[in-house]
Amino acid sequence: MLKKLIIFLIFALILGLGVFFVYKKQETAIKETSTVEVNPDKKVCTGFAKWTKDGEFKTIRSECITEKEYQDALNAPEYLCKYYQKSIWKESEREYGKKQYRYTKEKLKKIKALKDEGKALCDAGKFKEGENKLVEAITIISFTMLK
Amino acid sequence: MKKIISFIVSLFFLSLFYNSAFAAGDDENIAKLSSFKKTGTASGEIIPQNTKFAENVKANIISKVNLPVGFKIELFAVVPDARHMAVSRNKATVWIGTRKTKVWQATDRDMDNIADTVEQFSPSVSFDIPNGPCYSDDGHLYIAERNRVLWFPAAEYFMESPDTVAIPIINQGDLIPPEAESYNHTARVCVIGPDNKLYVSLGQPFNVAGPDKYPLYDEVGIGGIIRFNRFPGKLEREVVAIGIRNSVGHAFHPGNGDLWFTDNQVDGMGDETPPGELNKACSLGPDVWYGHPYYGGGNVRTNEYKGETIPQAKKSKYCKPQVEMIAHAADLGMMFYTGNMFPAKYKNAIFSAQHGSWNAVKPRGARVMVTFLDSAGNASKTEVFADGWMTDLGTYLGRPVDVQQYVDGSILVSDDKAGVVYRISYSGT
Repeated sequence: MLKKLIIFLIFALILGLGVFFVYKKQETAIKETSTVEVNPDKKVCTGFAKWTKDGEFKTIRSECITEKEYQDALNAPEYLCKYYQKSIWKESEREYGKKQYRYTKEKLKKIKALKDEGKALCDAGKFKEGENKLVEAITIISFTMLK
Repeated sequence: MKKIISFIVSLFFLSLFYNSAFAAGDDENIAKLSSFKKTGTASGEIIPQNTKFAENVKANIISKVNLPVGFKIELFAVVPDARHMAVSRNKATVWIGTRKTKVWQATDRDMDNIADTVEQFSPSVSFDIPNGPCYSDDGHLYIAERNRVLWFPAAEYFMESPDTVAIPIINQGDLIPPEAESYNHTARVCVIGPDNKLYVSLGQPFNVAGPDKYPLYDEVGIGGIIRFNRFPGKLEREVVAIGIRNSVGHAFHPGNGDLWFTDNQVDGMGDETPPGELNKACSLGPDVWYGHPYYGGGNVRTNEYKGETIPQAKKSKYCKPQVEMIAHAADLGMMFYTGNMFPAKYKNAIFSAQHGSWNAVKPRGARVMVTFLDSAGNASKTEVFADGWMTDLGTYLGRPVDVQQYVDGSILVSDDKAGVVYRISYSGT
């Protein structure tokens, strides 16, 4: 009887562990494998190039930094301050960005005021407070319908 | 002289009126086409194939694409603005949608697996962002537009005529409320499910929509996926997924019928966050929630909803993504590989296209990815299958949009930057 009970308990334990691991695996998203590639000297570039009639690949404009410089920029304390300001400019000040949304003049004015406040705080080294102001501006942009 | 000038001016304004009146709607033509009547429309545009442009694409783009050993890429067709694709059953015609006003049909007429002709499909219909064609096993073509779904019951057989029978399954203005229409996030895709219904994804028209929008959006399926009957009669429209930001690719697993879809995630949070997603539907239903707008991608909370408590109704029905792709790569079209041409490991694997980033400091994407599934039907590994469309200078040679299996077991990849469709085949040598 005891033997049967032990076998049953072992069987239940194995089954339970199996279910646990399968469930755990389904709960966790996998990441694509290309994310593991980091070469600090690799150039990170944005730009524009085209092929000439002579078959030459000609760079019209290109800005490059190294992977290390890019990672340093991402990890800098002022990163989000800079990123949010650029994002706000792209989406609400740059002509193309502005055209994408159904802004009212009031909304644009409010976004600009928040951006200026955020920038001032960031420039004063109050990064967290600055980020919060800039996120307020981004929230207005996000909640504005696209054209 | 005065009379001539006045005549020319009148003619000019008359032509403007005619053009705007025609562009305003095609109800009359659709009514005729639905009743098997001719519209009198002239034949559509033809895209020349054997051109200097095609040669340049081969020399400047195709030669730069990297593939696993044994695979080969070649030009299948020159197709301006090529977006999502559907492959026909018998004639191997490929219909290709655009984000503009045209749908193209590319046909291999001499049976060498390369398109010989690319022509405008159904020019008598005034399409509005006809991004998403899909084709059923029983030979019906559907095209999901910004705010309409059309059925072409005999597209494969009447495709040579400018008048192809076209019948609305969802009338203009009924797919979403017109006030929710936008240009961005309206590249619809469609697929026929194992239940024989038509599934259409509906992107939401914001970066992140405000809370006031969600009662309506969840009800209609905006920021979600809907399904409905694919023949006229009772539509029986249902929402099968909510909490999706902007899915532009979905497919059903050929074995177990699971619905998988890509989702483009939130902008303005950082260069490396949030991740893009490849999702597997936990189940199909109006409450099954995929995280948006509370999550911006993966388990990253959006700035807009960071302080908000996720409602219990959503939390209890939260279905997490299967794969987190790199941020801002714009994962679009996808398919399951069911052919016999590729090595066995690719059987039932997911091929998906990354269109590429539009505002990242470190440009990324412009690749074809492959995701392998385990025996339980979950994602086990996602890796790059094809790349090279982005140069080391951060410039695009091309931007992959969709991946579809061709009749011979090769795969087709559309590219809306170069305006072409590529064919990737395997010979093993």
